[in-house]
Amino acid sequence: MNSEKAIISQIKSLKDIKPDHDWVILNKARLLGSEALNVKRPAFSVLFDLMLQRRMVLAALVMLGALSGTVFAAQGSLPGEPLYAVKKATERGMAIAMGQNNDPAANLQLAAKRLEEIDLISQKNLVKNLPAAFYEYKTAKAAAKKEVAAKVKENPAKAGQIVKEAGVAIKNINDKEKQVYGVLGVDESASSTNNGIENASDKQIVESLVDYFKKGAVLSYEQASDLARVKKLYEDGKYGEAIDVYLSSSLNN
Amino acid sequence: MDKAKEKFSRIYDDCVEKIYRYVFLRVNSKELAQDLTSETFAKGWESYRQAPDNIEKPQAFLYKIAKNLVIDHYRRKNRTQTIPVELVQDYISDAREDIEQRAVLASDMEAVRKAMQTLNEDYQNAIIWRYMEEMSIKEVSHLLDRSEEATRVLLHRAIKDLRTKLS
Repeated sequence: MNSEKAIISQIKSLKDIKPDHDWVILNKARLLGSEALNVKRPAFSVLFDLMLQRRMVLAALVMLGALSGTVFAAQGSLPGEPLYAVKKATERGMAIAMGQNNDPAANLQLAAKRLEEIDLISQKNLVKNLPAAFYEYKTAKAAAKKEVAAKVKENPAKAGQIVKEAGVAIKNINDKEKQVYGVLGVDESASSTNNGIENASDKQIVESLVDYFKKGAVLSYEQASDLARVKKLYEDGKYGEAIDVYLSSSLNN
Repeated sequence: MDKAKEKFSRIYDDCVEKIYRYVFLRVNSKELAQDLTSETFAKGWESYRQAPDNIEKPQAFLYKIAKNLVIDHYRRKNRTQTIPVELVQDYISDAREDIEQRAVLASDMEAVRKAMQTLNEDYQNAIIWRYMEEMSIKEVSHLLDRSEEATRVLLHRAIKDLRTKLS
């Protein structure tokens, strides 16, 4: 009955033993800092994400989760907690189901939600959950900016309008970020997860805006002056600041 | 981020599951496996940071640290633990979704795991590395500090012993 082959096969089945995904992320952040989370994600996590891209699988996940009550229970979970992956999968499933997966506004809402989670974790003093929360927030924010940049690139003639629509949410997120980071005493540059993606997206957004205004209607003196400030910041590689200036300038009226 | 940290970050991604699994199988506790795995990587990073060029095979290097930490743990505690079948079930990948299949698998896993626990340390290590992680004889012999021939003999005896315990 227990042939050598059968025993070896049983031994191989022990490979299904895996550590908790959240623990893997948290432990890495503790060991190497949150910026290390941006280097490469564990293979199983990437596979999980690939699975998430399959609408049918996701829909089934959402349905099954809803039936079992897990999804409901997961809604109050925070980064670093066991049910958090379910919460994220549900959000993503819902976004796909509603056709909002690539919608800048929906993605910005998610980023704002991630930021609120940091605030909540801070209020509850759950220090060990902070690295995971920062990672989730920066990832969500970078994804949202990427969607804004993609939409601007697709519709250069509507760059001003697109950024104006997304601008309120971006500004709210930035203001809230400053407030939350200030309370925690966090240096923004230290939590640079996904800054590369965010920076590239910001660059794309500013480029499209500058082109849009170059080709657009005649600018007032104030608008021309504001555009020059935006261009200067762009040339200095300060793309995020350029967007901030644009949003609070006469160009965004 | 500096180069050493970036490289070690990749090593972490590549090895964390394997090291955790190895430690978990040796200590039978999720919490302890997490602690010892964390300690393994902390020690590994400390050495790597100081002299990255001295570590040619990071995986083997980490396995050796983990092995020594497990030995230290048992020396300190001088105990073994068993693990309930439900706990093993918690660790089974969701890839096998059929409940019945999972139950059978969990039962098989538990049987083989319990039997492995009764083997001596070298037998356990050899079986984990060779048959579960599918490392070459050369790699296993390096980790066991034995010749390849001696490792083959050890593996043969380990499987024979395990088979006896399972029957």
